[in-house]
Amino acid sequence: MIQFMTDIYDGMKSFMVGMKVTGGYLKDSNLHEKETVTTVLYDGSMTLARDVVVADRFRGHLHNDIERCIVCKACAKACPIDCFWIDGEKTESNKLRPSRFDIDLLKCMYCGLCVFACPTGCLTMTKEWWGATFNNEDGSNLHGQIRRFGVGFYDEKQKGEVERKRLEAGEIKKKAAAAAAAAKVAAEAKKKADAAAAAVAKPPVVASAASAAGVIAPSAGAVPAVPAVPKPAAAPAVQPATPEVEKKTDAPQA
Amino acid sequence: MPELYSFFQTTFTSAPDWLLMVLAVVIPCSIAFGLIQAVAGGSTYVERKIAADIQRRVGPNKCNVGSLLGEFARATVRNGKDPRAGIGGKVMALLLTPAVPVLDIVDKVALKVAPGVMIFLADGIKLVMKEDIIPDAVDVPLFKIAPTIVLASAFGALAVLPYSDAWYIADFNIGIFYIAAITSLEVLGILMAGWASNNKWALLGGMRSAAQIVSYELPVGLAILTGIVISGSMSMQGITYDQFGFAPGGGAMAAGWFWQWNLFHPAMFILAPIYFLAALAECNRTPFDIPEAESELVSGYHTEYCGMRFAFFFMAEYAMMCVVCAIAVTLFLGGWSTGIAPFEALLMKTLPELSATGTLLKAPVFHWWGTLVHLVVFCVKTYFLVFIMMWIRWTLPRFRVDQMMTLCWKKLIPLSLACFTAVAIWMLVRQIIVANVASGMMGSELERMIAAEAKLSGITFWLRLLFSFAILGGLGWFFYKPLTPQQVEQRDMMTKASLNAGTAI
Repeated sequence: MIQFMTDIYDGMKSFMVGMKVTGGYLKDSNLHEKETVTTVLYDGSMTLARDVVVADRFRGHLHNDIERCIVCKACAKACPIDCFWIDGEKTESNKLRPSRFDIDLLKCMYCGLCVFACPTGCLTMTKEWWGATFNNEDGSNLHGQIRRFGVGFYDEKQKGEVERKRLEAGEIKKKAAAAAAAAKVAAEAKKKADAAAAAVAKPPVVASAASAAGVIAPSAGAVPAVPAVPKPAAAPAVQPATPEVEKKTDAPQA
Repeated sequence: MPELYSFFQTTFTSAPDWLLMVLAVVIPCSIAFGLIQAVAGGSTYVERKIAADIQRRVGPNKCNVGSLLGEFARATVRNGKDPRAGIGGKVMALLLTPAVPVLDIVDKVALKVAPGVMIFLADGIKLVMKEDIIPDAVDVPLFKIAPTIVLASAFGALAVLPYSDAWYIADFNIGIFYIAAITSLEVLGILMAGWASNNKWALLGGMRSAAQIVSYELPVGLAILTGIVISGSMSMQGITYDQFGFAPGGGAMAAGWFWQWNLFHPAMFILAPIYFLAALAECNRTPFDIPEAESELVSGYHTEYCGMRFAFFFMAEYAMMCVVCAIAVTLFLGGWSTGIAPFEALLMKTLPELSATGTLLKAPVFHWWGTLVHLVVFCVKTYFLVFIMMWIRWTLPRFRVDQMMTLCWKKLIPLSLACFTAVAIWMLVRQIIVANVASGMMGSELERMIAAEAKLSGITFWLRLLFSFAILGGLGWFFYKPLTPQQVEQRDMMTKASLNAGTAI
């Protein structure tokens, strides 16, 4: 009984002292305003998230330099969630080369263990992370990236079919858009041409296997009429299983 | 709302009676519904600001009046000037043109007083605009209906709160019983949400919440029961009027002092913190927020919810806080009464009619501005308790599950049961004392009873006065006395530790 009462007394007392301490801070909050500690204080600027400079060791989408890959499957073994799907075939010179190199982007958690495992250093992590788009039709959204790079939702047959349908729809729209834009450009020729040239001169986005850089680059909307959007230097998402589809994907850009 | 009903009856004499009755309930209900949403939204801002102040952070300071409403108004005016603007756009621009300079001034004031105050509006817009995602594996009907039940149970209690002496929505003779019944429906919705989400964290959160709320209903129930025994009424207005302390021979001046509030009844003084702690647990607030413990369960029972359904849970939590605090105000802090007898007498239009032994026959009628004062007083008292809830949130860490259960079953329930028993026995003993005192007096039986009652209530009046001043003085002394060197050292040690950690404290 005595223990019971002392427990309650102690609890109430420590609670009240705690309230007093925090209450003191609350009361003096205006005095301490200059003392507030902040690591980074948002300055209210309205830069787009897309333009944020990421840290040096940022782990974005994966990119495999497919020419140097030796199909050792070390990355698949290192992967804690088994999101790789690699098939190899022999070349004429009796060397292995990948006939299929797929990463399921839905599963990938960007841990980077596969990059450490890669003996040739052909598998790297880019700083590319943007999966959103304003256009769902041209396959530049996350679904499109998954279809192009990883296994995603579809088996091969479905993948090719869906891709074709999307492309057809996209092509019709693009043609119309291109025609409209061309007319516009013709009307105000010189100024636009300069701007377009500047846009082309912009350095291409880091070539990522998971993104057709030309399509999602922010300048894509601004220069629809300019035919030659720079293709990324390194080949994106090699999909040997469906080469025709890959070609078609590139067609509207070129 | 009786006043509105009688107003309708005199104004629209030809309308059917049932329509007026329905209107007189629906209109104040929708007003309360809209207001409580605004209060719930505003509370999120207040809470974040209090948290920032206690932890010496900056808090929300970016989304100001000028950057949300001002930009909207400016953009509308700009669009109205565009030659392509439609008639609607032009009308909107015309309406908003005078608002722009006003909003600029408001923005300047708000920047000084409450920077970032519009964050709750932006949050609300965001939640409304969000996609309503329903995962594939959930039990869809239950998943959809759960937030509605939680919100309805919190809002249902608003109907009988005694906002003011004449301006209230309804006053049942079982008002507080109705509140206890309808707020306990909340656990049903929470459990439903946890179960239907088909998610282990959500299920754990729902189960924990069920265990917690069912346990803490008991001390809450006992505290309410004791209040009912003391007041002799279950109606919220009845409980409030009882705390006026009308007594035979007391007169209007003696009725309405703050020491007549139930808080300064010795048993209720012990029950008040018990009720408050248990109420914290019932709203799932810190330190009892184990159902949504972020570090253990992702977000508890509303892990799978997003958009407006999540906002329902959020709003229900803040509405529940307000309801629970309003009950505490009614039970312990004299409801809408100001606590100063001469001031109350000033607000009265007609004096109350008392029976010979001091029971209230006819409640006093107040001036309309007196009613307004009472409304404000009630809201201020309620929000003060909500503020204390927020203050506690940033003082105490979260309990473990077993600590929470131990506190309830081994500490709060025995204490509240003891208080309840003591009050019940005192009620009997008081009758015996009255009879004994009366037997030693002169006159007829009724006269002797009245005299004895008057004598006893006179004694309790002065005893309560002493008790209340002792308690208020003690509290004041405790909070104004500077911290002991040992306590200061302890506090500074913790502050320095968090400063050295390099994190924003």
